[in-house]
Amino acid sequence: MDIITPGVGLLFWNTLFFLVVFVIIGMGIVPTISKALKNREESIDNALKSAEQAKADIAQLKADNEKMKEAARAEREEIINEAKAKADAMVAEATEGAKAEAKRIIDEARASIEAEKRDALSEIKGVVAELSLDIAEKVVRKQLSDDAAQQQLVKELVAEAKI
Amino acid sequence: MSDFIIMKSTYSFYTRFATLALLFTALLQTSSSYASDGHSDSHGEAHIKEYNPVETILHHVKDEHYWTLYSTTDESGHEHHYGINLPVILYVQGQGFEFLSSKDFLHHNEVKGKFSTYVNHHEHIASVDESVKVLDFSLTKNAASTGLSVILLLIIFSAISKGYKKNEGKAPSGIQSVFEPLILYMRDEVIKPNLGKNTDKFLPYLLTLFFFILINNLLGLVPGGANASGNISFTMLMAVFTLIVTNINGNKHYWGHIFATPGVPGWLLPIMIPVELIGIFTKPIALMLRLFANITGGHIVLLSFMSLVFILEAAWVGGVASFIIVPLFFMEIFVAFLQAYIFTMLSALFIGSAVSDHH
Repeated sequence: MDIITPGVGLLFWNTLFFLVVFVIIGMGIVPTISKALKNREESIDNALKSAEQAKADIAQLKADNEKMKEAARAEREEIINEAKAKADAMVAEATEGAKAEAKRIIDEARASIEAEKRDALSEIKGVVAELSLDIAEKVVRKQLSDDAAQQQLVKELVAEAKI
Repeated sequence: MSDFIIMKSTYSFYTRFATLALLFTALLQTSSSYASDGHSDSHGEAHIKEYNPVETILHHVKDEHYWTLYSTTDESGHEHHYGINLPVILYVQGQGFEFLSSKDFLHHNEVKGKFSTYVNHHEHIASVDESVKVLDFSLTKNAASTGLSVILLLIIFSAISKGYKKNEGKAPSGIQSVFEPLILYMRDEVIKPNLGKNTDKFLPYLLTLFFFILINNLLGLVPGGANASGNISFTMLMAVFTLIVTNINGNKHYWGHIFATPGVPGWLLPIMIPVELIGIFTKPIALMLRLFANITGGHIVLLSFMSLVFILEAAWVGGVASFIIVPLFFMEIFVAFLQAYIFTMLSALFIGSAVSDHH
């Protein structure tokens, strides 16, 4: 029966040994281990979280980039359109100017032609008058007898001279 | 590079281990004193003692004062015991302490001390003079084995602790990585589910309990080792510690459950209170008996199969029995872990139910 009878010596030694282990390992080392494990778990947790955060940040950045690209593209389009419109306007303006200039030149030319024509006409009139006088002189010299015929002739001449 | 570091750390660990082994070899003494009883009658003849399996097995399972590693009987019938000479410490009531050597007590020799003459009768040391009461505080085989386990635990845990300081915030290395899964498993799967927010408070006790039981279970399986954790004194102490920790920390719900069980009519309380009070003690007693029976039972089963060789007196039986013994041995290693686990888990459960806020 002594197999199930606790011995006082063993109880003493085992109590001593267990308490030694409890004080040194249980109270000394286990809290250090526990703390170290907790710290490591925390740091791993934090690292995972920050990785997640970085991922989100990158996604955000990418989206932002895309947005910026889109905006840039739109702006380019706008600038191009604006430039085109400006160029068109300029071309139209230039054409308009040129047309006006051409018209002015033509008008001027017309006016000067008109003036020249008038001058020429008045000169011709002068010449005609001189010619008429010359003719009249000649007629007068040649046919002084026939007054009626002369008058008829003058009338004819004058009618002819009307231009 | 990391392999080298692991090698280095294991190297330093084994250096310490080897130093320890050397120390124990120094303690190991051969004792070949002559048998003083019986056998000298058959002097000169080959003496073969009748093999008694029950006696042999119980001798192996029980505690002893001299740590016998092996014994031989020579041609002249003299028994030779080889092993570790452990101190015998006796407290003689009213007189004081006696320090003797267990080697002297071999072969039922009578040993004369300061106060009286003592004799070891079936590992029970008493005075020859019946009026002298003796208390045995000897560092017996089991006590020495437990002491060895303490030294091993201190070496292992100081190495682990150093590892946590060295690899702060980094992956574990060396011996640390062997024990970390065990510690994490015990903390996260066994202790935390039962104790919740009180985990940190009871982690030191429960982890100490687990590793103390585990290492003693495993040391018991080393050939030549003692059956330290299969001894009723050992298991009783562990159970008593759990009993104390549970009841010291029991809150008002715990005591309320015992003295005024909710939902029980008042006239039943005179029956319920004694039942609940008995319940305080039945749990640790179950713990005590479970560990004792499992470890001792395992040793008995293994030794029984080994005894077949001697019972049948044929060497080939050993070959056959090995097919049973080797798997059984592996199972015993598993049981060593399992029982340490169960003891710790149930302790955590009992403490957990005593400190939880609601039932």
